[in-house]
Order: sequence, then structure tokens, then C-alpha cells
Amino acid sequence: MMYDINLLKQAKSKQLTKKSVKLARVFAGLFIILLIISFAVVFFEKHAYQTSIQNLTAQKQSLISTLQSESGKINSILLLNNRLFAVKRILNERTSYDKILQTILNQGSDQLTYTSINITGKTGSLTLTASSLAPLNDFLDKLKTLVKNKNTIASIKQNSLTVDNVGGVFTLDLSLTLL
Amino acid sequence: MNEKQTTTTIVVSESTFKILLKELKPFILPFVLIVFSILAFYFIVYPQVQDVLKLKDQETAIKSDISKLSANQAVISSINDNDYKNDIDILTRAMPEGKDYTGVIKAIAAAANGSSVPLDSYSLAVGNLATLSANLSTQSSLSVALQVNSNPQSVQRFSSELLKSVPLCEITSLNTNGISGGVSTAFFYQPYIEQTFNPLLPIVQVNSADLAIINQIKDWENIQDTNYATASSQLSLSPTPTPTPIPSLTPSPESLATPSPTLAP
Repeated sequence: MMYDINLLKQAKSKQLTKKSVKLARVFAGLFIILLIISFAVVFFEKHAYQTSIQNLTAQKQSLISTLQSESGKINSILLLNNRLFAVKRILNERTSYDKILQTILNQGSDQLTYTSINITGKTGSLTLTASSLAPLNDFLDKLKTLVKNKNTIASIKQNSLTVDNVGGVFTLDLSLTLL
Repeated sequence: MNEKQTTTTIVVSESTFKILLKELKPFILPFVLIVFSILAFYFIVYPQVQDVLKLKDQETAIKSDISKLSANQAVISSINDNDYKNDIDILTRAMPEGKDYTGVIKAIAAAANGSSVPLDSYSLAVGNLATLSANLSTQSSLSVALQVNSNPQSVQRFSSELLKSVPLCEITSLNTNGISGGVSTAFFYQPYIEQTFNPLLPIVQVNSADLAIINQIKDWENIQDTNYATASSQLSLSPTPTPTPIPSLTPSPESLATPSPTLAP
């Protein structure tokens, strides 16, 4: 007994299969077309870049040759820059001892005598004499202001203060650390 | 019974396979083509795309090089040889290639005259390299010890003048006892080392700040020349004094401004 025989259903199934086959063929065709197109595009792009690189390399070589032919001017520039670099470095980095000395001398009054000033590297020592304590005190106050304002001097150390009772001379000995 | 069942199963599988093959036969070609396309894309097109990207980068790099070279060529074309020659001359006098004894003596004499400071004596340390300055310890220099016969204010003036002299120098230590003082200086020089030119590196042109430095040095040099000429005429010095290796020479008080070099090997 054949209960499940349905001729209409079978025809419908065959139709579906035909559709699927068609779809598969379309997809396959699309893939192939895409492959060919991408292959062609890549090929032409590669060729174009290769040609361009060849031309640009030739242009670059020509420019290098032109520059190398100007070796006289180039050597002048190199020498100038070499000297200029060294000169700039010295002018920027050298210590201006004259300004340091000027700053120290500016703090003193006429009543003060500089017995000795020594400045080496970042340190200095000062020996001052005066007939009274007032000018020495003023000088110290001015130096303290310089330290406070971070101007030239970083720190001061008072080493000694001696009095010569016979000559009536006060001697102040200081150590300085420069900025 | 079991054997019969097994045989039946095989027969069924074969028939199923045949049916399947018959059913799927139209799909085989599209499937193979799709698989082929995917494989071809992965193994052929994709590496080519990578190559194209590399070539694109290469082209960009070459274009960048060409623009740098063109800029350098434009700079070279705009350079006036004579201008640079003058600037090089000025800078070479400020920073000589070797120990410029004549220049150093001239600078000291001019500074002494410019600050009206009588020089007691001075000595040049021959063969010494700069180690005295903390900041400029790598710069070659000629050490010069100067004795100034004057008060602290004059020592300051002299130091100030000395720092505006050519060849360039730095004061490394300074002392004064109220009547006389000592100034240790280092006159700089720099041997020229041949440099290889890389055409792809940008050529640095002299800018306005550099020109200002060159002009400042030129001004210092002019003042120094004037001071030196005055000192020479007053003291009947030869125009280009050269240091003589005298162990020690202390001039008489009348000729204090006359520099007396002492070469200390």
C-alpha cells in the first residue's frame, strides 16, 4: 500500500533543487568574477607602482648627483655649522665670573675693603675689613637678600669675625656657594 | 540473522550514496569553483595585495626623500659663497682649529688695554686640555694664568673685557687681594673633523639668531683690534706678537701693560 505517494510534492521538491543549483552557480560565478577583477586590479596597481618607483628612484639619484656636485658649498656649510655650534655652546654655558664679581663688589660700601676674593668653580671665599661693624653688617644683609632672591649666590657661610683692637679693624671671613 | 541485517545495511548505504550523488551532482562544480576562488584569493591575490602595499610605502618614502633633496638643493642654490666665507672666517677666529697663541696674546693685550689694567705677567700652559670648566669640560682649550696688578674693580673690568675677546675664552678661577689679582682662563679651540655629508639630512641654514651671534663676535673683534692697535702703538709692540718660550718673565712696573708670556709645558 503506498500512502505517501504525492506527485505534486515531488515536483515542488525538484523545483527547489533547480533553484538551489541556480543559486550555487550564480555564487560560483560571482566568486570567479570577483577573483578575476581583484587579480586584475592588483596586477595593474603593482605595475603602476613599480613604474612610478623606477621613475622616482631615477629622479632621486639625479638630485643626489646634483647635490654632490656642490661639494664646495656643502663643505662650507658643514664647517660653518661646526664652528657655530661650538661657539653657541661656549657663549651659553661659560660662567660669567666678571658678573659674579661685579655683583659682589656692588654690595659693598666705600667703608669696606676687600682684602681677598677667591672664586673657583661654584665656590668662593671673601675676606673683608672695615673700621666698624655697620658696613660689614650691611654687606651681609645685602648678600642674604641675594641668596633669598636666588641671585648669583646660593648660600653664605660666615667663617669668622675678628677684631683688631689695636688697629680698630674688623675682619669678616665668608664662604660662598654660587648658583 | 545478524549477517543478513548487515548485508542489507550495506546495500542501503550504497543506494543512498548513489541517490545523494545524483542529487548533489549539479552542486559539485559551483562548490569546486567557490573553493578554488577562496583558495586562489588567499594564496595568490592576498600576497599580491601585500606587495602592492609595500610598494606604496616604498613610493611614499622615495617621494619624501625627493622632497628633502629638493629642499636641500634649494638651500644650496640660495647660498652665497662669499657670505659664508666671511662668516666662517669670523667663527674660525673665535673658535680656532688649534691653539692660537698669537690670537690669545692679542686678546689679552687688548683686554688689558680696554680695561686700563696693567698686566703683571701671564703664562700659557702648552699641551693642556680643558678640564677646568665643569660646563665645558669636553671642549679643548689653552689654559692661561694671568696676574693683574690692580684692585678688585679693575680685575672685574679686565675679566669682562676678556670675555668679549676672540678667541673665545672662559674664566675658570679668579682671585684678588685688593692690590693685585689672578685670573685663570681657558681659551677654546676645536679641531675640525671631516664630516660626511648625508644628502637626506636637512641642511641647517644660518638663522637670524646665528647671524646675531656672528655680528656680536665681529663687533668684539673690531673693538679688540682697536684696543690692540692702541696698545701696540703705545708700547711699540710688533703687530703680530708671537710667544717665545721664556721660562718666566716679570716686566718692570713701567711696562706693566706689556704682556710677557710664559710658556709652561
